[in-house]
Amino acid sequence: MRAIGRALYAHPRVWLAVLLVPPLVWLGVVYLGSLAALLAQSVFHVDDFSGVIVREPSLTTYKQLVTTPANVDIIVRTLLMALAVTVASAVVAFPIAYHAAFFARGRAKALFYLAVMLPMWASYLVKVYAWRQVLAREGIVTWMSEVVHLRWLLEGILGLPVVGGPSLSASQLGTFIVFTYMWLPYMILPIQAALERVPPQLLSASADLGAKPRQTFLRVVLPLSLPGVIAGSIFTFSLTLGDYIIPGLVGAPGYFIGMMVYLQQGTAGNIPLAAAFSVVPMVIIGVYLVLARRAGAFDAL
Amino acid sequence: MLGPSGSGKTTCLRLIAGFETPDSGAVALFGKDVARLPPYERDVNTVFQDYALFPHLSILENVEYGLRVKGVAKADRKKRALAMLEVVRLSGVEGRKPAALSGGQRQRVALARALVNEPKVLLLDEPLGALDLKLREEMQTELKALHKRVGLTFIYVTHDQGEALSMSDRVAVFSKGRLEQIDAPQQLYRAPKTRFVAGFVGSANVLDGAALGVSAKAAILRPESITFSEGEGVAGKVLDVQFQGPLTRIEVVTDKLAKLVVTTPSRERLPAAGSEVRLKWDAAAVVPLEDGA
Repeated sequence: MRAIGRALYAHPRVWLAVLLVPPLVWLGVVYLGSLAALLAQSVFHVDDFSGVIVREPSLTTYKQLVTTPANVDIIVRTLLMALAVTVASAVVAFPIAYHAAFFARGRAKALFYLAVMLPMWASYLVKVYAWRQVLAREGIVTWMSEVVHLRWLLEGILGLPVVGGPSLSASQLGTFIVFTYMWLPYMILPIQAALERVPPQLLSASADLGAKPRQTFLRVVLPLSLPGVIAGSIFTFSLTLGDYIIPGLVGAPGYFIGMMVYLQQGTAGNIPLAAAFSVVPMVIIGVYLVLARRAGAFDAL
Repeated sequence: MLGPSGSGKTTCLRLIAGFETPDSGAVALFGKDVARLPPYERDVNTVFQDYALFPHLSILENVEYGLRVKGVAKADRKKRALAMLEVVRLSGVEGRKPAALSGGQRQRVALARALVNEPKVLLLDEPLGALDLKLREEMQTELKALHKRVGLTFIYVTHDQGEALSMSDRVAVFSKGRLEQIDAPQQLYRAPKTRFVAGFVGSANVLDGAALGVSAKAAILRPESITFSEGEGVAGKVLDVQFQGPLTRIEVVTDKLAKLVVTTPSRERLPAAGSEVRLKWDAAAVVPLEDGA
């Protein structure tokens, strides 16, 4: 043992190789390899007559993806949902993160972390099923709306086109609520981390230079926390784009990208189309990152 | 405002700037009590210890900030910001971000950002503390020149007595949250009122008043006002000799007055440790203290 230790000490490069090879194999082969396999699948296509996968590179599958109205519908629906969920998460998360970063101390801060993390300890499926019950027509939300005499408001909202439906648990609004609830911690934590890094001295400096609290918030706090908001939005955005369980359990009929990937590679057996569908979120996130960078969201890093 | 860390000088500055509110008393700014006003409604501006420049804004935007939040038109605020950058001798960097500047340059930006608002009083919280010695000396000279040019009241917090003495018209010495003495630098050095001021501003031998022939309970004798005597004087034995460059610090144990510290220009012939010496001083060099104790 000691001889091996000495040999490794004398040859640091060998030691480095010993340490680095396993993770590099994992990253290179298992992760990047499977990603490459996925991309490769997406340029194959299924022969319409025989149903056999033709292993020749072509854009047939992508053409099928963007020219079939049903597929375009699915992409647009998923994208809009992801956008709405991201915006709502940011709006709800920001005040919570702001309070935690600037005001909570000691026990209150510990309680905050617990409150944010605790839901993540419970099973994802249990939470979705719980929400299904909460939002159901016979569920607590309907009951509460009657108790406070706001049933008319609930019915009014459910009567709206696109977002409405027979009940919250069978409407786009319901899907939206559950998504927002589910991904909220992924938005709160990065924003809070970014806010924690804002030196309090800068807030003093801003006030000293004559900025009212609202101006200090808009000109100093918000720009400096933007990288956190972007980081959080990447989580909420990509998680919504890829999820296939929530829209299946809560919400109106109509597929999402994640569900299509699941269906196409499972029952339908159209692996090229499933692969092409799963490339869509990657492209969208890539475009989003480029736009965010152009807008200067990472300048404060 | 001069004092050791924790003496309350920065708290005092923060009270003036408005980052803290006093439990009692007033903060009078040109006769008007501003103690209950928030910082953004006070006509003072601060240069912070670590400059507190906005990292996401360019140098120009940093300097413009105060004018911008007050709604000064774009062309006007740009003109004034550029002019102020010229005053602090920092033209040509307005497009850069603070991270791209050196410590001394950031210091100037912080000055320009505060001065462009034309405050009634400029507050400086250990503004040179983060700079190295050479740069600090340069900036001291420059700050003094700037002070003359802009003609404002500067309130300057430092724990460096040399900086306080060389740069101020009046120095307020703080200790343990109390204002010990406020005087012109020379007066402060020549006639300290308390034991703390005597020891913090320069160094001093604090002695029993009766033994020195004054009526006060205690009096001080500056180490540089003691000289070695060939003839008569107080007899003593050299305990330690410390060479400190231009000056040499010598500790002498005397029969009458316990230990005395003497500083003398470093010459070739100085008493060695263990030798017997005689010390003398002018009677006028003995300064009685008010607090005695």
